[in-house]
Amino acid sequence: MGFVKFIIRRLLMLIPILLGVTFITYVISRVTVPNVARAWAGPRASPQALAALVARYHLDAPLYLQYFYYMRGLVTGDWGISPTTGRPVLYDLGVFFPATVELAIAAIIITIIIGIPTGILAALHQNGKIDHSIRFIYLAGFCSPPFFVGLAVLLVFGYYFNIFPTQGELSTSLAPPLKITGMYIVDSLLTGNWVDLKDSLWHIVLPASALALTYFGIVTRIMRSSMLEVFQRDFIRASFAKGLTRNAVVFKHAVRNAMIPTTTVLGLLLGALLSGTIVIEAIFIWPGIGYYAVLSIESLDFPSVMGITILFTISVILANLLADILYAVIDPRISV
Amino acid sequence: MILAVAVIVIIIVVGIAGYFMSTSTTTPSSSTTMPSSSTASSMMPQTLTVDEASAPTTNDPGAAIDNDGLELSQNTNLPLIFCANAGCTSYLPVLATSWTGSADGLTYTFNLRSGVYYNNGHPFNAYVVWYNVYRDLYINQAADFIFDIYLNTNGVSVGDVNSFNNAMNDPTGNSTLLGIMQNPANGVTVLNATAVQFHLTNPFVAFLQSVDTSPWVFVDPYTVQQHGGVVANQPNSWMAVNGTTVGDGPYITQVYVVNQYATMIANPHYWAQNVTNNIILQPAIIPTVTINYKSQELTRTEDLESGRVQGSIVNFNDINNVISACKTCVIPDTGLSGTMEWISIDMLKPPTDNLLVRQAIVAAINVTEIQASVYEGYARPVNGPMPSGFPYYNTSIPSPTYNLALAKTLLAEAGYPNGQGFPTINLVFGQGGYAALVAEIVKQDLSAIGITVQTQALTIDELINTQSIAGNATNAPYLAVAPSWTYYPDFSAYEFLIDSSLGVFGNFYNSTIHNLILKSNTELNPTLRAQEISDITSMSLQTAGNIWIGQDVDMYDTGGGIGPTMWNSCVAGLWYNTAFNGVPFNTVNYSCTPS
Repeated sequence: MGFVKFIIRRLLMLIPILLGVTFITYVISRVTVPNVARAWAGPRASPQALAALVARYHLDAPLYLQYFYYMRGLVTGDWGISPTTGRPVLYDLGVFFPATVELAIAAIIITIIIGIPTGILAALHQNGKIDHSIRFIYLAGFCSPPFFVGLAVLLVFGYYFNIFPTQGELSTSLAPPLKITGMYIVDSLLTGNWVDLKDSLWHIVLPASALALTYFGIVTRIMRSSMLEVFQRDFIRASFAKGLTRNAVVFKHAVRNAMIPTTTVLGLLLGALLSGTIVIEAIFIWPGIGYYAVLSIESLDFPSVMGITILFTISVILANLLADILYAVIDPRISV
Repeated sequence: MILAVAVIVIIIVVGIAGYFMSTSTTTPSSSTTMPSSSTASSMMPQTLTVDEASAPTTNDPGAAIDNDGLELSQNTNLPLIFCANAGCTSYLPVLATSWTGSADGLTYTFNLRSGVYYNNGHPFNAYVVWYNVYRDLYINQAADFIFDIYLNTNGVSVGDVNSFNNAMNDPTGNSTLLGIMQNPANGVTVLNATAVQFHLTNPFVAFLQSVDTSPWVFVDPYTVQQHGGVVANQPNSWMAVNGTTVGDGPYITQVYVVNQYATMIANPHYWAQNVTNNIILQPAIIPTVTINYKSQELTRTEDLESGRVQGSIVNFNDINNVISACKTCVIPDTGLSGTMEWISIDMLKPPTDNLLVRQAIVAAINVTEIQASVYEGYARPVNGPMPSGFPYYNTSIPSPTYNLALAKTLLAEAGYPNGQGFPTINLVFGQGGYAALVAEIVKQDLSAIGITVQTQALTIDELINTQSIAGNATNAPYLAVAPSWTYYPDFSAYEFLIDSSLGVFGNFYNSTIHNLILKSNTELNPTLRAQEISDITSMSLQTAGNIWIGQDVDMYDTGGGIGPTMWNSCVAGLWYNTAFNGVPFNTVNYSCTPS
């Protein structure tokens, strides 16, 4: 019951946070670009079209009234229509967000596959050649800017070796799978569309790897540190004293305990990935929310920017909540 | 346990990868595919893939105005007539077979072709024309500025437009609607199923030129009505995504993935399948055209050089690099385009409100250097707002020349000898293209006469927005490297650039020029009109409100302020017409198989 209350409490916190975030974003956008109508209408739009746009989005109303109109629409499910594309903001979010979720999950999986074993290995060979090599590799990835990693991966594996596709979620010669979740890999799996499944898996390799290369270092480092800390605990010495093999002590006891902080980091990483894939999505023309955010910001599309901001806020909060829940699940000593 | 799960995941992923690799029979993202069947060119690729630098803002032909949106709408939906030559002095019949205009320039009658159908089997007729004009007037999107110039919605309500809702596009069962459609007092009158008449609110000399391109294309009304209909001052969300999936053109859009790519296929139910003597109507030669939307210059050029695509937008300042790296890449010689490059000067804010200062600035800018170094020769000199090759372009008017000594003299006469006392002025430009190089050269040139310039990069939309700031406002930019401006053929688009009360760019205010523009737009006498436009050009040059950098050449499929399209040398059949802002893909074919 306490667990349920904890979740409800955290979800209720969303409301004031969202209010604060939307208010700040709305004010900043309106203050920095006071008269956005011309940018929305386009340079060739007639005065009549311009006037209609101003009236439709209440651009001539006081700021507090504009915010009121926007929030009224928000709570009734109307997140507005993009003035530059004519598409509902919710429609666009529904199109772009699943792609980012898919990419983030793929990147997390690769990060786990690389980060956790390398962290364990580094800890087991503390200050040895293997430890130093691993630290060098993850620091190189972590310190490299995402655009550099993305372009390098694209050039090497996409163009020079021509192994993987260089853009998008699916080859243009294939029809997208029937939309259930909006994630091509999942939808292909659910509909038994094996051609699309294979193709979409092939397409996600490069962008997900580029993301993972940048972030796996965090997981490796945390895992290594946690392992080293756990090794110092009395119960580890006791396990050895009981006669357990090294592998049994490490993989049955140490790793499990070391996973506690690592899991928290993974949860936070998911939140960061959901809102931080902008550069990789732009490089690989991955149709995710980051790419959509860049386009919206560049075109001063404030309804879209507001929608993206709200979505990012919700995603980060939910990702943190997930991390806390996982934390409590993994370590029963922790109560929420 | 977690480690065990991780190991299992690794095994599964490796196993799947190994399975796919061992059973893989296709190359990922293959840009050419083996043809399944073809008549004249069975061994040639059946797919053409092009990289564009930006995505359409909308896929609704009634609202498309950017080059990428027009590229889709113009290939899938046909206009009434089309310019038969670059200068648009004669026309090809497309959906109209003949047309007449009244002596007073207020009434135009078009006789329509019969037997025209959309790919869904619905017919095109005069009622469809009526519907589309009023639809566009009512949704009132940016593209519909053309209609606003000479038509209005008097006598027709949005409810009337929405009442046109049957799959045969035939209103004869609705006598009220039919009466409205046939009312000669309204802007658009249907004479019969194959004849339509337009009654303009004022004579507009360039009317026929304006009719040959978007938004003067006609979508299927029934499709629109089945997906939200017409709402005043609002775009149709369904049409914004799916608008070109239904059309009467040689192609239809099969797949449109927002901001990613569009795939057009040869219209399988094309009504003009047997037409061979009309370049706009002829059926498609290449069955599939895929257009990728990629904002990264690097990936576009890599795609072209690696052969993944057969056409790609290349930045102006990158042309020579790509040509030297890609031996099979060419820019077709298509001559002068209707795209102009210029810098606007704020005429309202001191010190640039001083004519002598502006003339000094114009004389100090070495546009020849800009044309050579930034545009790499792909921009030619112009003598003013009217592009060369357009009707009424006067070759006897000299282009402004670079003259540093004159610039210094003019600046001194203005009270700023060697720039002393001249405040620092700002120059804004759109980021992401070659404009930054233009800005840098301008900065250097003006420093040579003592003027200090501060440059500032903006997004294109921010740049557009600055132009709506009042010229005498403190935050109005002094100089702005404007986005490339593509003209409709003799659509007097030049007036947008030299009259801020008519257009948006720059802060160019001159009441004499303004009145002369209004007069020339309604001048039916071609000799008088030619003289008026020459006078406007001369006066605009004298007023020095703009620095004319040049007119783009070989801008087949203009890059929207980025650069030309470079093609694989095996791509043939390309032609350019200033009215066709995108690529008419039905004329394109392969002369060889790209390597």
